[in-house]
Amino acid sequence: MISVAVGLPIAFAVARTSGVMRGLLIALILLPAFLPVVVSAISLRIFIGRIGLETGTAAIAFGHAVGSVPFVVIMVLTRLNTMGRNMADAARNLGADDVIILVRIVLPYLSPALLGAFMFCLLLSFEDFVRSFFLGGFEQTFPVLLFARLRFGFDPGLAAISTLVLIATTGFGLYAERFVRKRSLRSETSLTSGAKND
Amino acid sequence: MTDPVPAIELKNICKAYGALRVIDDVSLTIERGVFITLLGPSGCGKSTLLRSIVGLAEPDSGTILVDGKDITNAAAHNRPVKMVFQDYALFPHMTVAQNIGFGCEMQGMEKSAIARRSTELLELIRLPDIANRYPDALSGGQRQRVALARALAPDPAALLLDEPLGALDLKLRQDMQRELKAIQRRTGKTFVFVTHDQQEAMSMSDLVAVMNKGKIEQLDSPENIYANPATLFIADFVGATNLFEATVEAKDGDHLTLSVGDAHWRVPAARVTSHRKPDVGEAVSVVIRPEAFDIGASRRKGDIQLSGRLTDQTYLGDRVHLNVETADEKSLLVDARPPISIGEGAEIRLHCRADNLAIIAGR
Ligand SMILES: Nc1ncnc2c1ncn2[C@@H]1O[C@H](COP(=O)(O)OP(=O)(O)OP(=O)(O)O)[C@@H](O)[C@H]1O
Ligand SMILES: [Mg+2]
Repeated sequence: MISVAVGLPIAFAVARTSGVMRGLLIALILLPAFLPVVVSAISLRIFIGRIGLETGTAAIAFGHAVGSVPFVVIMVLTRLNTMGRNMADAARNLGADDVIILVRIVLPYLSPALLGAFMFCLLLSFEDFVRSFFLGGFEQTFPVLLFARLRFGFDPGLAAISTLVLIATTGFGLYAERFVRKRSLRSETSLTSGAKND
Repeated sequence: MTDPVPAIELKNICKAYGALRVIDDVSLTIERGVFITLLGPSGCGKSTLLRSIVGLAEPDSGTILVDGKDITNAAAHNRPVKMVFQDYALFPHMTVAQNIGFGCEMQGMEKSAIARRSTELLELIRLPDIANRYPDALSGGQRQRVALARALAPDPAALLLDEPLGALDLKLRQDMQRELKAIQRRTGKTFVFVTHDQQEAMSMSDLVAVMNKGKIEQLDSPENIYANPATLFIADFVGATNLFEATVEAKDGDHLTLSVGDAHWRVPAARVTSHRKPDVGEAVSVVIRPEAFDIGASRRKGDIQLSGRLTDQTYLGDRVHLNVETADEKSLLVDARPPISIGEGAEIRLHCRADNLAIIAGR
């Protein structure tokens, strides 16, 4: 029962990825993992119960989306804030219409943030078993009680597993960071050569 | 000498944000090749006026002509007037050359022509070696010059500069003032420069338009703005000022007699610099600049004589700034040439030529 609850969110996370990330994630699946970050999961569970959504895959998807969207928004917004409101105006003044501004100015500018946000969400989804666990199919008992029981039941292995997860996610995070850096550099150079060639 | 078709013509531009009239019926004709400065305090509508000209703000009413063509309703990306922004707004993911070439690229210019134009402008701003750098790798002054080059590259009908030197420190600012002026002379372009720094406006411009609360209060040469302020606001905003409240006592021929406190000053009527000429009995303000005063009693007939107590002096090398308190507790600023042999706290006499002042109707 636990393995089902654990497998589902990972499958979900993998489904949201593609290419290189998929391979990485599949490797990470082999590590059974838990992180005792439960509060948001419990409240989400209550919320989902209230709005009458069945627990299961749909609830997991919902929970993860709810969990990730704010991060994406924050990361993109942070980047947008550094953009300065005059940059799009300057492009327009130089003769760029809305489409050109989006393609030539805004998207290239946001690309590191978009990529970063995407990877960050993968990380988040992967790490966030607790939320998935709650949303995935426990009986609708008293969530607090559940929480206590859960922690009790897994106590012996918990510390070791969390450490493993920590190492794995940190490694993944560092890799993602480097990947994003390389990508943003590459997108700059490709813009350069694009401008020169076509 | 000036072209009969002005570079920019604004007719009755109005713009309100809610109840706030940000631009209040502004009309302005800017001849080609002129360096004109919009000078005014923060929030008076300078940026809004510039943004209206390039189409980034939409005026509620009025007409905008560029090179004689009505562009009031043209899309912002189709207007032939380019702008330099205070934060430069360079595109960080493009090289300097790409930044400068962007406007030409948008005009559909050929690659080789764009490259040539970029090189040309990099030479104009005297930074020929930075073409392949990214804006992050430039100093503030360099960014500023690249922003200028980017706006000049598509050969605009006029260049609008919205406080382009605001982000620079004083030394660099002064260098850039000279540089900007030189580039304007070399290119012969029409520059519309915006600043709230009156010294900057005075030192760079052929013409200064002083704005206050959405209106242009005076359009004149820097010398006239300083010597013949049309409003009290301008007298106060531009340069240091001593203001005297007075009443017109009599008019005879080309002279006015003013009563100022207990004194009577006979001044040339031609020194009324406000548009409205005051009648007898009307309240006026007399503007005397700190450097108009000379120290000591005057034997010249008709001079205005004042006396007071020296409260403070600041030695500046070639000048001394004095603070003088008159008998009726008015504090005067006096800008004198050293040496001053009067100690602080001592009595001091001042005089000023009767035509070395300005009279403005109202208070
Ligand atoms: N988009 C807007 N919505 C509402 N009010 C605005 C908007 N843009 C400007 N204003 C107001 O219009 C007035 C004039 O603004 P503007 O930016 O033109 O002033 P400014 O003369 O350029 O000032 P500064 O020297 O500070 O740049 C200000 O009071 C400002 O708050
Ligand atoms: Mg402004």
